[in-house]
Amino acid sequence: MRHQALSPIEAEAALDGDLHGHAGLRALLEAARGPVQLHELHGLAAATAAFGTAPADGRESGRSARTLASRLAASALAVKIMLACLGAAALGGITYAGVNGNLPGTTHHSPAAPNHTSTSAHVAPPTAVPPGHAVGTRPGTGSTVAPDAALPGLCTSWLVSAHDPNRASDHRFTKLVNAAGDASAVTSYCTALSNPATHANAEHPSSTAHPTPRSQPHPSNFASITPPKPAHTQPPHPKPTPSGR
Amino acid sequence: MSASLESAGDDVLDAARAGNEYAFAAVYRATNPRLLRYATGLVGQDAEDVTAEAWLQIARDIAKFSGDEMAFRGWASTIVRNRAMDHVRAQARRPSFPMELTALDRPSPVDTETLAGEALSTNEALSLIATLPRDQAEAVLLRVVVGLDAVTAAKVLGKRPGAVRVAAHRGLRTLAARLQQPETAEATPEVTP
Repeated sequence: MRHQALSPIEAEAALDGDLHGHAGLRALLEAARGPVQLHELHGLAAATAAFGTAPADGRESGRSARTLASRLAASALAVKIMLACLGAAALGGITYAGVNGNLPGTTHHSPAAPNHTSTSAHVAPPTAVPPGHAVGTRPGTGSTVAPDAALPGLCTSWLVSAHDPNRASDHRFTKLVNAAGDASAVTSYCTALSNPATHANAEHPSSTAHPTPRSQPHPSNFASITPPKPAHTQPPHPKPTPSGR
Repeated sequence: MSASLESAGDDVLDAARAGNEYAFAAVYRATNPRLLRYATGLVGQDAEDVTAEAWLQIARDIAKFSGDEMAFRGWASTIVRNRAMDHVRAQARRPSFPMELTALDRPSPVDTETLAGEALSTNEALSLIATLPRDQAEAVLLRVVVGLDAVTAAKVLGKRPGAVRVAAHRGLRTLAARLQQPETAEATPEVTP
């Protein structure tokens, strides 16, 4: 039995995930865009490590990608352990803070309050605070303010749950939203909190809605990256050429 | 568009560009499954190696990237595509580009008939799409799996949007016909031009 052929309109609807009829094709496309599988995230540690070792200004270093890959392979295990600890520490920290009424934003100080100049006392993972830059320390002054120990952990949870459309109304993030001033400013606030160049701004989120990026503000058109300097051997803008570099 | 796959969001992408590692991890989680599936259509079982190489470049250059999330996916897809070409050449699996999308086993007609009546897995769906001619398979994967619009997909492939649209439509028609009439799929295999 011959079935009706797929029309151009139906094909376009299928590409947009809005196909009616043609159950077989619809099932095929739904399966192709199916939920994330665990093995599809196996490279997270290596990618994150590469991101962490990339030059801050995004410019290409003299090392080749192959050399970088070799270095990353050696540190992959450490990164995996770190990431595993991050989730546990953040979740545990948030839970602990909630149970003890010591949520971020409160002015309550217990005698057992941790030393805020030590990153080891924070719920935040090591990478949430730049090395040598204690949370709450204003750059250039060395003085400390009373930071919320759970804020970096909340920031981690906020960023990781970026796909959750209801996170802004999640009661777990209430203190973080309050600290940022507004739900729309939380991501910027968290970015500034973990970025030494903009950390000072994070302490006054209401006056700086956006953190200072490492590159210029982007246009809304198609992807492009800043043109390279002449010394670069690899074009920064990816072109559909076989080299890819 | 891709209802079952996550989106990182432009704000998280901006945070990653600014150097936030957690935001970068969120971007990875939202993007890599799409890239990996696209790479699977290009190089089959070597897709993880290709995407791993691609992420090294993405991690290095993301600070210089500008654009929204759709544009980011297009940029990342271009990197994956270029890495796939490099990989194929390095492995000498194909004498020259254009490569054939035959790295994955073609499903047998019996498989197709069975799959048409059962719930497809993601891998089975990708295998079926990979049986299409290369240009059609890439167009379908970029539009359906990566979640690109025709214009962005065309930039990835270096073609005009109209050509990508036609290729995607042809690919979908072929797949629909195979799934509706599995008994005829055996007699008319697709041939890569």
